[in-house]
Amino acid sequence: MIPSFDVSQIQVTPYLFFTGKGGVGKTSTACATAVALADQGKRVLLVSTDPASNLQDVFQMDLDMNYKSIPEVPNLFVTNLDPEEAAARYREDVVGPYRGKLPEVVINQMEEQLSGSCTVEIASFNEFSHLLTDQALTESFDHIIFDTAPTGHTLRLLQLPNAWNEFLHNSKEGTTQGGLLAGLDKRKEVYKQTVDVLSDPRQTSLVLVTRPDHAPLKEAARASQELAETGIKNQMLIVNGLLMKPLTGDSTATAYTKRQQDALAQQSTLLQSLPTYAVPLVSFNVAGVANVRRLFADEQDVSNPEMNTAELKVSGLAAILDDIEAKGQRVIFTMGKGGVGKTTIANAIAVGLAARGLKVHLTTTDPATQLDQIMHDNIKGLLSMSKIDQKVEVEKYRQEVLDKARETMDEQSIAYAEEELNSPCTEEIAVFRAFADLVDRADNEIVVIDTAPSGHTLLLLDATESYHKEIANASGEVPPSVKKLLPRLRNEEETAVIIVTHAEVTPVFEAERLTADLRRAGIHPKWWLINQSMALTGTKDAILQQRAASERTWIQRVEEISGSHYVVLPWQSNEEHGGEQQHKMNKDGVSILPGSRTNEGCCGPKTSCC
Amino acid sequence: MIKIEVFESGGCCSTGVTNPEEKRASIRFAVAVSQLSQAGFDVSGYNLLSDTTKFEENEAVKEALASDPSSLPITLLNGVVVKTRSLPTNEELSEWTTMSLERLEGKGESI
Repeated sequence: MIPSFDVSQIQVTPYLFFTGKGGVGKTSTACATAVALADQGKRVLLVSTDPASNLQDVFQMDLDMNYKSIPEVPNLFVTNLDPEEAAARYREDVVGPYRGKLPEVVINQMEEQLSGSCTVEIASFNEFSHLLTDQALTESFDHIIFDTAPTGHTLRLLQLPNAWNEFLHNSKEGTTQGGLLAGLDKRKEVYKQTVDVLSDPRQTSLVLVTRPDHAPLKEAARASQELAETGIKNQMLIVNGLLMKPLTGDSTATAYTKRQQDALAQQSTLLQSLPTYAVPLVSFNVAGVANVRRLFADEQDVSNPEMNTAELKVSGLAAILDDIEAKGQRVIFTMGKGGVGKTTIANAIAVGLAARGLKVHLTTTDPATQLDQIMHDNIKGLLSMSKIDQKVEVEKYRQEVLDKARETMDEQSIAYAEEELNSPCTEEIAVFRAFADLVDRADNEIVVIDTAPSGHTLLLLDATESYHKEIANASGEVPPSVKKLLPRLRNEEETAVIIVTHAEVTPVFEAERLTADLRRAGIHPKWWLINQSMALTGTKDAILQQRAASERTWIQRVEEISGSHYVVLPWQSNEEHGGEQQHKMNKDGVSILPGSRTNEGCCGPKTSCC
Repeated sequence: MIKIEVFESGGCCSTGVTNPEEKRASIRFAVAVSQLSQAGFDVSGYNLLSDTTKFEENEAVKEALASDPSSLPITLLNGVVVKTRSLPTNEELSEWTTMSLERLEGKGESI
């Protein structure tokens, strides 16, 4: 039995950082912690970096960069740092002074270069370092609690200090790097101080928030290790959303609990060594101070909500498959944040299309997927599979560059080459090249890929491509597959991007951001897929029914965004392990795959470029 | 005194990363620049994002960009545009500075 999270029972450091995958409940647990500490009479500042601004819903008031006091909670102050806004300010600081002075095309180019998630993080980190090193501020609060952005952001954000120290050091060697860190040297002292605070166990603790599920636990383990490596060793784990008293005899509730227990039983030894606390799955939305206080008190509201699933579109994948088949689309991407089931859905789409007699090539970034697990006798010969392994692709790219360098260059030059390959872009570019080759296969068959390049990368590469085209002496180094890629992705007759999400606040907001990014690059995803819907299970468990009822808001939102081009798939308990995957075929011949197998940490190119 | 200035596009996803050939060109150029600087030549590289002021101050560069926004990288030799759209080759650098190709490649004795 995991002990409940209770701030009066633990040593609380002046700084607390909450981290975890999007949707695990960082905001709610961070808020509840802040309120609990303030209720003890401590002066607390809660800093949200959540771009979805969940915090505004929680405290039911408008929040901004200013420190606002919460009337119902004396001693609590809250500030909301929108990282996107911070990035926009940073971008304007760099570009603004040159508007009208340099050609507009050049200004646009600069803006795109500063639109990656790296800029977002640098900008956020700037704000963070203010808070961590401002003595007047730290003296006026007993605790400063950071409710950070989703995991990928968080990791890099918190890892940045050390990376930057190295970078600043390297820059002495005279390598010219991109201007993203323009003017950084000036802030070197502040950053060093920030690093010191972060890695001091008496000052800072890291709270890893997870759900009792394989993907978020795996992500928590990864974050724990990576952050420990950067020096943040004072860590604890909060398991949020445990179903404490499942309704006896309810198959969904039973399966739900079993899956939670299985996931916890299999968590890594690394996590097992951390102090671990439980927060129950609650029936209410964590909105309003009263509910925030109830979160750690395990008081449930068991009134049955109104359920009406009839209005939900439950056409399954068939509607999407019909559309792909009718249009004759040949390149199919599934896109979404880690943990929503991109790989599972890509598998199901590939199998479904093959079952319709189409020749399909499935590419997965999940090393655990095995073709024989999803292959049925009736589609043999139609379905083939390959994998993109990010690490392998990066290594391949590095080797290719270095081999060429070795042909003509001496050691000093090779040292330069290695140095240049340490750029964060190498990864995305390397994977992008693998993409291009895969998409090229679509001349002969349908290609289904469980990840997609970010719009930001596509835009930057597009600029590069047109640049290459115009070079008179270019000897055709840009592979033809790369040249064809972007026009192909933009062509809706040829390409379908399917946005995968859950019917919850954070996954939907994250999916919206991905979509906006793709739109900038001229790619317009048509279909949305809501995976793992509790509303479709027909559960009678009171708490699960409440969860199901709360999906409605997000399903409606997806309906609006997608112009009703969406489908909903029910929550399924089967978590694949090894080769034990079970498949049911529905009447469309679509394999309904176990719902939630995901493999966090290998979701293709990060949505970051620089 | 010979002065070479190279104005490059900014960002780490700028040109030259989509394929190893381009990457190699930028590495080759970095080595040559390092050799030239060590030999006392006045060589500067400016990045669009971090050194924007240098772009804005330089009429020759602004003119080149205005007539063709895809001019970068732009190379100036003693203030005059001598090359646009790609980095100078080692042959060109050698011609401008009389440094041997071997040394530009980092193969000669370093100083």
